[in-house]
Amino acid sequence: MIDWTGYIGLILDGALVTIQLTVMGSALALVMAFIAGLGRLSRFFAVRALATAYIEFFRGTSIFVQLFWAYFVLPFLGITLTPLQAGVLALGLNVGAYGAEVVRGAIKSIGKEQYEACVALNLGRWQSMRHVILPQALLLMLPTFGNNSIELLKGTAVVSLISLTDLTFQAQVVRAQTGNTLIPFTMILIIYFALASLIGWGMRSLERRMARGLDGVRV
Amino acid sequence: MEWDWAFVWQIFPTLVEGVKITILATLLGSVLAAFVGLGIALARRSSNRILSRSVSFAAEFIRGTPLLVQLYFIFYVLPDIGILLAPLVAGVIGLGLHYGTYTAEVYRAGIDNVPRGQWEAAKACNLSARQTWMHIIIPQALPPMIPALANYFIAMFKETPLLSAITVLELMNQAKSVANSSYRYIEPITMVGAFFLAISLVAVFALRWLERRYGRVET
Amino acid sequence: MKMKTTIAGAAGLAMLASFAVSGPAMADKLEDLKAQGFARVAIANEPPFTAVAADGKVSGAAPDVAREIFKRLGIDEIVASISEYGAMIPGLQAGRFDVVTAGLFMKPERCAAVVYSEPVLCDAEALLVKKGNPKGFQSYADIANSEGATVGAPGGGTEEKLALDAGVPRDRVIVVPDGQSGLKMVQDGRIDAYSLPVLSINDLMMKANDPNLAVVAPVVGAPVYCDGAAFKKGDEALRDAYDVELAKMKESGEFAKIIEPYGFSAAAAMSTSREKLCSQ
Repeated sequence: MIDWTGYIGLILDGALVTIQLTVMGSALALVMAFIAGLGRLSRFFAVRALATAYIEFFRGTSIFVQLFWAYFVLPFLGITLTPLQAGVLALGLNVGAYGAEVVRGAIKSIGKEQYEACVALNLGRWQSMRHVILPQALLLMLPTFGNNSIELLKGTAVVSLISLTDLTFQAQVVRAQTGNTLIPFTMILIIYFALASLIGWGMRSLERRMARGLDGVRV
Repeated sequence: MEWDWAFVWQIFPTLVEGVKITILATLLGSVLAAFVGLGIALARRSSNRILSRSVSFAAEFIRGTPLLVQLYFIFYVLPDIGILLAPLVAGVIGLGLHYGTYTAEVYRAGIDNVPRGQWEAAKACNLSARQTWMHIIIPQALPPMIPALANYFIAMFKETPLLSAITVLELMNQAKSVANSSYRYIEPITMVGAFFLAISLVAVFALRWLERRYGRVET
Repeated sequence: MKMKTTIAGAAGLAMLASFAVSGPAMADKLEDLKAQGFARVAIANEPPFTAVAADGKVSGAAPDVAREIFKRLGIDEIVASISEYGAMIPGLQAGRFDVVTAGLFMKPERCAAVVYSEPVLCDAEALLVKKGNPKGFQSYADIANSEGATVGAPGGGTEEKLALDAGVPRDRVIVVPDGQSGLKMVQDGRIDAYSLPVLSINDLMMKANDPNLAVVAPVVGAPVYCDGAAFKKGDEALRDAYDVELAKMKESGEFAKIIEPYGFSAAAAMSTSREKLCSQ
């Protein structure tokens, strides 16, 4: 009947693109989350306003719309991105906006006494952030960051609609070639789930490792 | 290519038609997600291990895979086993199931947030299980859940463009069909973004009000 | 960090490119493509016009012709991206592709938006329906006149326009993302007919091998259309170079050798011209 080996290769190629998107998107999201999250806590009104505008804009418009916009409208402003760049940019900026709120929330949840201790030790703003606040806040951020990168992984399916050859796209190609819908879709559902489980597992082990140095400080 | 206001006004009524479907899908999806989430949360608390384990796994699976692929599955694969759903119905079921796994977490956190003492007190007063739930637990657990649920309904709203992939004529699909016949993408896609931003900003204000009114629950 | 520099780099390049285009001495697109070593083409994954094989290789009659012509022009490879029909012309204008080779049929409004090569692939339109054609469709007008009947077509494709022009209301013309979905929707009774060019419908039928389906071809009142390679406005020089090679291949019979195995008629493409089709 149908020779599936070639098609499985195609789907694995797609998995590679999906992984690539997830990793690069998460990296961009992480950077954006810290820039915007710390920006919202800035002393300067302009920085706070800018960070808020970024967060509300990207959280307020759908990732789908952002992707189409990056793909079809940006070129008219003189910025032509490859589909991969457009995908990473849209996913990273979108998830970064959600991550920024996590960063802000975690930093704000660190007790007042910690800040007071920093003042007592005569640490500068940057020093207290770097050595006292962030190491504790980071641990609080991790579980949500894990969830966010799973959300990003799921978001990558949307890039199939701007002709990036990710898992979902390749499943469509296989479907067009073989006329079989059930097998390719079941296959990619399992792959997505495996990847999501992998991220979840990785984040939990990272959390355990990071918590080790902070034994007895706080959860 | 220049921004054309005349074209914007010309396509405006078509896009408004799409917005109606988008909102309808969100509302129906929210109602379904509220019930599905409740079902999942209750099943997970069940003393029947097989039930609670299998529901937990199913929920994990749905959460770990992209909504887009789930929609394809519901729309194109289910008819093979005799389940033929209209596009909008398939879309609402997809949204409801997917977000039901998120709302289940809200219910769980809400119920867990009721202090143990309340359960013990109910027992001490010799209340039945039904009475305990109806008069003690739910009245305390429910209010903080409301903003958290609303938060997920806003997230769902932003994922409705995915329904365009299964031929639902919602906002994104209307915009694409306009773009397809006019060869212009700038105005329709930007307008879709503006619609989404406007509606979610209103929704976020409503959410802040709900949070002030009912307090927050951390999930 | 690396990502950021790539994006900044890409943005910088794009700016340079846009300056180059707006400059008085417009760079020769053909030379650019030669230097680059490949041309970016838009396809639709609608066999036999365009297809992606199991190994990811792009085939189909339209890209095969384009690949050969570009090779003769000194451009070794084509890189394809799959796109919706309606997104092809905006994509071309946005500089996403260098050329569309996808069975994008010539119609006056498209001729006004892009520059076409001479005709390449010609085909009539067909309808995929349930066995016995229960609603008796012979033309798009029949669908319009049949109470509540729905027709599926690719978004922004010729068939969507034909159906709308024949008076089928917008809400009864269902935009279907791809051929396989269209076939499935007819099988499941979600739509009453699915419309594509004859050869595409035949290809779908062959793969589905479903005795409960039937084909109405050609659709009455819909003329035979031909596609051409579509270039961005301003790339007339590239188009002219393309036409020269296309004419040579038509002359030598190599053109027929490429497209006829896919079921297309070389004679049909050679008996008409861009000028005729664009004023049809």
